[in-house]
Amino acid sequence: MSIFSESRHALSSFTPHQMKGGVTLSVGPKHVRLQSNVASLCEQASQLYQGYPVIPADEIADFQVNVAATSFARRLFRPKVVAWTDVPAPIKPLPARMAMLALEMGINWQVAMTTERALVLHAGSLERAGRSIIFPGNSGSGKSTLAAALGLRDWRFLGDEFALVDLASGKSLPMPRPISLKNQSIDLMMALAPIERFTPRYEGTPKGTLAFLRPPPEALARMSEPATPALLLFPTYAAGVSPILTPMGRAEAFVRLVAGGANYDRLGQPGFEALARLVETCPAAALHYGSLEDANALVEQAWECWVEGKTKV
Amino acid sequence: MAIAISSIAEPNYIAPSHKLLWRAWDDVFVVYNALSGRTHILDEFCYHLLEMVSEGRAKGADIIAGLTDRFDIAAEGDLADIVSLRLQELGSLGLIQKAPLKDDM
Repeated sequence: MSIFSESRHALSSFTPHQMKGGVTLSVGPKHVRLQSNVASLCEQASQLYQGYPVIPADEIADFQVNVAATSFARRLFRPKVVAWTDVPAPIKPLPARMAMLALEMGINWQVAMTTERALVLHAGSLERAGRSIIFPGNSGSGKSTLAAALGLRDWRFLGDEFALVDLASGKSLPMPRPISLKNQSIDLMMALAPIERFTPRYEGTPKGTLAFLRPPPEALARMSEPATPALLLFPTYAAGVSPILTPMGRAEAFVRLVAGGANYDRLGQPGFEALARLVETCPAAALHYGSLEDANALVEQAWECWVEGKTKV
Repeated sequence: MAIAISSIAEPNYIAPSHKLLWRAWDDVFVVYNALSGRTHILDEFCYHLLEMVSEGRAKGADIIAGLTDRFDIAAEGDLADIVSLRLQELGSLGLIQKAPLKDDM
């Protein structure tokens, strides 16, 4: 993992042609090298990753993901692509039209498998006034939509898929990657965010229809600024459910975080201590919600009560 | 009914105490075993058993004596069986192990 630079990287962009030869981007604490010979992916990735700092070619990347056609014949007949990663990934070849999904899955795999200096939790995260809120949850819990939507309000978006907690400092490390939206969340977010920040929809994926959303500019400009974890909210989305916050004990929060840890098993004692510190310093609660407005109100309420100490939930 | 302490299977138990990390939250105890890399959730009873083994109480009878002292309870009923069973469970988790008897050494 790269050490954060003290200075801000200037926001930049790259061309599809550059990506064919390989381009290295700064994505939070990681230097990620992307490469592909799939023209449509290079085109879409150069749009989706617009604004991410481009790292000089002579700097070593933390990992690379290369999305390529599975064979020459496959470029012509029912083309399929596969994501090649430093650590071999159990990712099946996907239709070429889903090359962006293959790229993001490859990055997910690499982050989970190669991060040694931070806990990697399946969680969204946001920051306000130097403190962070973490939304641990599995796929379908609504954590991505919640993080994306609140990131358009007065929160800084830190990530939607993984929340990184530095082992040494205990801080939340921003890793504002493109936001993965599924099914009805796509229309929901298209009503809130500028359309040019979305990729096309990818239909028929294993998770239904997907689209990716580029994070807000502030999230990219401040991706070197860590935050102090202050609140753990475990979201569960269900249409029509009454919104409710249910305080959660430390032991339950700990167990849930272990279950949602992408690299906890590999970190050993430092991982245990970092996770224990997280639940000992952050109040935790289950958040059940049926609409973004409900979720926003409860998150604000929880923040005011448990972090700012202003009101009672 | 007082239990026959001598009827408890009498292996010596030891715990790799220096390899165990603890956290106690409410009435739940989380133990990380650095030897195995596994994390365990224990209830209060198992936690105290493990703690006693870690303190050097190696035999079931010693542990029952420790429990009755600590919690002011009578050593009766099926306490011996429960202790024996839970010690076996802790053993199966790798948190304690049977030490070789002196006669075996």
